[in-house]
Amino acid sequence: MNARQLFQGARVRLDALDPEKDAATLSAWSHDLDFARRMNAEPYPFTASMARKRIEAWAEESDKRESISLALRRTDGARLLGTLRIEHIVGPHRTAHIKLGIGSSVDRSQGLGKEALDLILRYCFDELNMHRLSASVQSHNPEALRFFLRCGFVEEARLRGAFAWNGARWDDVWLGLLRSEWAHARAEAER
Amino acid sequence: MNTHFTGEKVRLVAADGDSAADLVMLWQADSEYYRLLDDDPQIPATPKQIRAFLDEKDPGSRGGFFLIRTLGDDNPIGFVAHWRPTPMDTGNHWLAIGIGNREYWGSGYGGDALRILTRYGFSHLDLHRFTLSVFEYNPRAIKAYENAGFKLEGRVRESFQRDGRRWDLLVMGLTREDWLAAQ
Repeated sequence: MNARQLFQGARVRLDALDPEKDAATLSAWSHDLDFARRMNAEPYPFTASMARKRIEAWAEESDKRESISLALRRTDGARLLGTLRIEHIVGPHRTAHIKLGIGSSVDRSQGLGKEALDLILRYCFDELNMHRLSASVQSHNPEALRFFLRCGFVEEARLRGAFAWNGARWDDVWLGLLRSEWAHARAEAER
Repeated sequence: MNTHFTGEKVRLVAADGDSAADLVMLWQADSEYYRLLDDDPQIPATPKQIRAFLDEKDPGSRGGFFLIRTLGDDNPIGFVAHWRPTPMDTGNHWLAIGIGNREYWGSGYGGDALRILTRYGFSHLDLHRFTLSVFEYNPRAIKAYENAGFKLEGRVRESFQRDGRRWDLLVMGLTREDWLAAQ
C-alpha cells in the first residue's frame, strides 16, 4: 500500500475548515467583489457569524457525503489561504464538481493552487474512487480557465451568455477530467 | 380566452402537488420513462415525496411547473418545467420536459409544449436563454430539441453509469438571438 500523505504537499496542506478560526477570513473575502466574481458567488457580503453557519452547514453535508470542504494552508502556517470544495458528489455515478478559490491576491500566482488541486485530484481518484470530475468557469475569468486546462481538465461545453456581469453576457464554460486521463498524465509524469 | 399557453396540439396548465402528484407518480413508475428523464438512481417515491418535490416548484422567480394537456380531449400527457438554477444565472433558465403517457411519444406533442414554453420565456419573462441536458441514448428527445431551435453546446463525457457502462450528457441551449432568428 502506498502510504503517501493525502493532504500534504511540498508547500501546502489541506485540513478541515474551523468554524471559529476561519469564519472571519471568509467574511473578509466576501467583501471582495472581484473574488466573488471569480468564484461565481453571489455578490452579497456576509458576517463572520454567517460564515460560521456556512462552515457548519458544509460539515453537515460532509457527514452525508454530499460534499467535502477543505481549508488550504501552508505546511508551516495556520493562516487560511483558500478553500477547496468537492461538491455534488453522486455516489452511484462516481462524479463530483470541484471548486477552488484563493482569497488574497498575495497568495496567487505562486503555484499553490495547482499544488492544492493536484492533491485534491489524487484524493478524488485514489481515495473517493471518482470516475470523473467537473469544474466550471465563466468567460470573464480566463485565468481560471487556463488554470484548469493546465491541471489536465478538458473544455466540454460552453453555455453561451449564461451569466450577466458588468453590462455584458458571458459564457459558462464546463470542464471535465476523466479518471483515465488523470491516470495517464500521472504515469507520464512518473516515467 | 388566454392563448399564450396554447399551441397547436397542447396547452400548458399550472400544476402543483395537488393537481399533478398522482400523474407524476404513475409516469415515474415506468422505468424507461424515468431513465430518459433523469440520471438520478430510481427510488420508488411515496405520494408525499412527490407532492413535496412539486410544491417546491412554486411559480415566481424560481420558475414554474406545468402539466401538458392535449387540446382535443384535455388529456394530461406530461409536464414541462423551468427554473433558475442559481441566483447568479441572470436570465438563464433550465428546462425539463417529460411525456409520461407513452402513447404520445414521437408525435410532436413535446415539441409543441417546448415552443409554448420558450415563447413564454422570451416574450414574457425577458429571459436571455434556456438550457437543458439530454442523454446520448435519447435521440428522439435530441431531435425534438433541435426542432425547437436548441443548439448543442457541449458534451459531458462519461457523465453517469447505467447498465455497466458510462454515458455522455449532452448540453443544449436556446438563446434569445437563436429564437428571434427562427420566428
